[in-house]
Amino acid sequence: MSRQVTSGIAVLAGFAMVVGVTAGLWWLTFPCAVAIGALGPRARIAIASAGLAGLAGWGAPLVVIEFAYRIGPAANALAAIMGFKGAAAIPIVLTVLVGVLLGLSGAWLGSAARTVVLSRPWSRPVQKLSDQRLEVKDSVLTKS
Amino acid sequence: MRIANFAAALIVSVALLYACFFGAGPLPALGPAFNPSTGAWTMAADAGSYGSQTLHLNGLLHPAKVVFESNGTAHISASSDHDLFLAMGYVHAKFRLFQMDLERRQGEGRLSEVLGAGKNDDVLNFDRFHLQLGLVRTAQAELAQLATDKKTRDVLDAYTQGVNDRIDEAEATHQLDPMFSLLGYQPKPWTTFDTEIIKGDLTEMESFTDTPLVMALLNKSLGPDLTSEWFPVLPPNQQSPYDLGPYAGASKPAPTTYFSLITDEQAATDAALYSRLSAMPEGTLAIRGESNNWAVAGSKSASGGALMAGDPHLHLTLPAIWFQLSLDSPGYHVSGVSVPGTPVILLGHNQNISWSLTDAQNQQTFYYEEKEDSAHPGQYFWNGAWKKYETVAYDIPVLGAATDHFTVKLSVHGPVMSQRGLTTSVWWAGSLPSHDLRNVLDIDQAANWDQFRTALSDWHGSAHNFVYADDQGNIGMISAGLYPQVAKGRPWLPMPGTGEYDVTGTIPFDQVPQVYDPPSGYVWTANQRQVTGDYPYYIGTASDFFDPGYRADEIHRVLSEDKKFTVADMEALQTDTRDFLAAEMVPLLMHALQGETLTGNDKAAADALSSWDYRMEKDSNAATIWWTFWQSYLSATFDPWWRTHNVKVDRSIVDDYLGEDLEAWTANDQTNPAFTLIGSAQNADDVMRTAFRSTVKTLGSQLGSDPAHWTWGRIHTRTIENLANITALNYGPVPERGDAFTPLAAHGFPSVEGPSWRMVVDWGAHTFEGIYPGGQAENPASDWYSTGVTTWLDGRYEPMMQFDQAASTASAATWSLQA
Repeated sequence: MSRQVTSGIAVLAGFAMVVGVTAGLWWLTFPCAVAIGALGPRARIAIASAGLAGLAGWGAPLVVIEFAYRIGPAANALAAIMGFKGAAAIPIVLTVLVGVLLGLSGAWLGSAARTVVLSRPWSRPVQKLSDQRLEVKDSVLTKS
Repeated sequence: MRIANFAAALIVSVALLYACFFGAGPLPALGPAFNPSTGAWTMAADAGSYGSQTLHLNGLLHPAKVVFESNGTAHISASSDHDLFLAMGYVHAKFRLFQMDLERRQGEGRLSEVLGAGKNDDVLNFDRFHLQLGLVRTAQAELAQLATDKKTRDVLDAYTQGVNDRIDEAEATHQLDPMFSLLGYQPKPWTTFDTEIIKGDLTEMESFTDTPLVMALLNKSLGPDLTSEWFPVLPPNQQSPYDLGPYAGASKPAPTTYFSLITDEQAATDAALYSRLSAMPEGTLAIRGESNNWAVAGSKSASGGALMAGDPHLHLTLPAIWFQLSLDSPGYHVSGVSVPGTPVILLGHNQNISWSLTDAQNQQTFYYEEKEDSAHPGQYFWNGAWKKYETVAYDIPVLGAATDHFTVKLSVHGPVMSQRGLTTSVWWAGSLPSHDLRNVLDIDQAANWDQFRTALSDWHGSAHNFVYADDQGNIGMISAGLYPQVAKGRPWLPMPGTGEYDVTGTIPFDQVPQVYDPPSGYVWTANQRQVTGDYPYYIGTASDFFDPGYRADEIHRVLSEDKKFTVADMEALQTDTRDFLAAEMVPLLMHALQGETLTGNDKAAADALSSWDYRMEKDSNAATIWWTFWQSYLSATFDPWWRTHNVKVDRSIVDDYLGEDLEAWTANDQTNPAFTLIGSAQNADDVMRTAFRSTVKTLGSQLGSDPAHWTWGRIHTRTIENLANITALNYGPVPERGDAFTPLAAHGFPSVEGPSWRMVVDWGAHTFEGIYPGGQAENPASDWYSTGVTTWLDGRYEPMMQFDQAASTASAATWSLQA
């Protein structure tokens, strides 16, 4: 799968995450990230993309809150409720961290599952092996 | 390797998802709690949703309007009473839904369902206690009464609809209070039952006491003679009752024989129950009363109209117990404060009259020791026969644990509260079904004294002193409520439950303490005993649990001045910091110190006291010296007795009553035997001198060597606590003036109780003003979370407007309510 396709999946999944968070379906972040991990051919890129998508999915609504209402008083109040009076950054960081962690872990799981599935005997790319054999045959034929 | 990688990813994912769905340790379920769009962050959207808007409410019959002042005070105008109360329910729930839910859960014994059993099962025990006490059973009986009370039923139904409109809206728009998200639950629909429960919470807070158990333990350790002398029926000090008689009716004199010995088994039983009740959170039991109210007739006011002032003293919380609003409809034109969850204005004024309350403090809780034996299991002996206990079974859902199956046993006296040792049941006036909501609705509509008095004639909640003033210059006071009378015995102690000592009735309404337009031209209460020793009924002992009377004395002193009073005088008296006890005792201390050679800090402290105006101001060092001296004097006098008699009751619980004794002995009985246990002391002067030197030494070590810096504000602070016990959302502590004995009541270090609402009315000038130390919104991200606190701390007031006034001024927002 090309890098463009992976990027497209990540953007789509990130969009789905924002929609999910906005609709109260916060858990949607995780399956979206699993999808990114499972479909992305390169694990590191897929996991990083999912983490970024989680960041965007959970961070964007906070930006909207800031512009619509001011996030400071709510952040201060939440920090106080959490026992960190005066540290308004903590709930903001924690919120974004939840999104990022859901993204990272989901993609990691998806990617790991993919490699396991692809490495099982029944799911090995038989066609590819026979292609190799054919190539060998070809080379023998070429030598002869 | 691939399998290991997958396993690691799976484990991490499962752990993370578990924390997100269910929380971990102290963490809430992270997913729903921190979801920016529907979790706790919605408090930002909620705080931004108070502006002008059109709202559609189910059940509304005609358009209505709500106007908000810049401080959040709400003014509702509707074209029908139904719509008025529907809008009131909506507004209450909009700003206080979590508070309302918490309070209904408290009374219904359902806190464990959302909080879990708590540390050492304290939350579960709190639920069990409330199910035992029976607010649920009382509310059920009150609902049954509504079948014949259409007026109240209609109001409750409309109010309930309004609350549920808001719950539906909040759930649909994801704007429930953040505490719901953090605790991970949704509020159930509101019912009229819930409103009755909240009314029950208030009654409990104002009248359920453990004092007979305290008295029993004192009796056991100090002995009947000392207990009788130190904790008498009538106060040992001079007080200022407002109803001086002559008293009508009555038959039997107040009891004179007092304490007698109690058995070890009784004492052990009482100690166990006392220990259990003492462990309940602040505000569960009525421990002390600290409220003021008074009225001045038109003949004594500068404006020529009646003046009235009221400041009920309660546990101060954020959000506050009160929500301020005005109501205007064809049937109601009333302004004041309401308790969220109830559809009435409890304290306020309408177009003709104004009123406020203080706790009457009379004894309304009676404990009975049931007679049982092994030959009659499950039964108790009453009125000459064995009778089976009734039982009621409850299931208490507990978050994270199995449902608790709890059974309450009931005797004829009431619920069995303890079976450790003797079986003890409690008769509590608050468990009798009442028409209190109807009574207050009638008060809200009353136009004169007769209607006001009629509305109170069957007031059965906790007895209160209702002050009254009207637009015709009249004033009055009625201490309305139940005053239970027992057939015989010592009701200030647990009594045998065999029938002879049962509550047989109450004082007739015409004979409860009350006055109307007295010749003096003023009436006042501050939780003092309302009547003199000639009053022919038993209403409680000096320690069960009337105030020692210093606030009432100070109010009486000021109002008895020969002058015409103004609103400014009323405000000054509500924030008066003059300690009446200090004004009596400090001269006696100065007298005791005469002839002593005082040097250094002893001399500086004495000089500060001798020139003091007895005001507990933040910058006063004399205030600190006085208060520390008084505590030291109490300790020096009574601690030796507590030690030698192994008294199991914390002395501080009865300090107010011991203080009355000490005040009286110091003035009139200098050689009372109480002083003889103290080293070589022979009399009060000896003990005072010792206490004074100890005071100076203590303050020197605690506050530094310079007495000029021993200011009251350094040691005396005020904290307004968050209702959900989130200390970071408290206001304060901040330095605060006043003490337990000043009209500006500020008991404790820090003080967490005090004037929960201050109102001053001038019917001559037609001005109404009020303030409470809190804000209209429970949302801590809102500008209206603690709006009134600094104004209140400064002793300032806000005008109490009606709808038209508010609508014609620069209001913060207007809500158009549509069907």
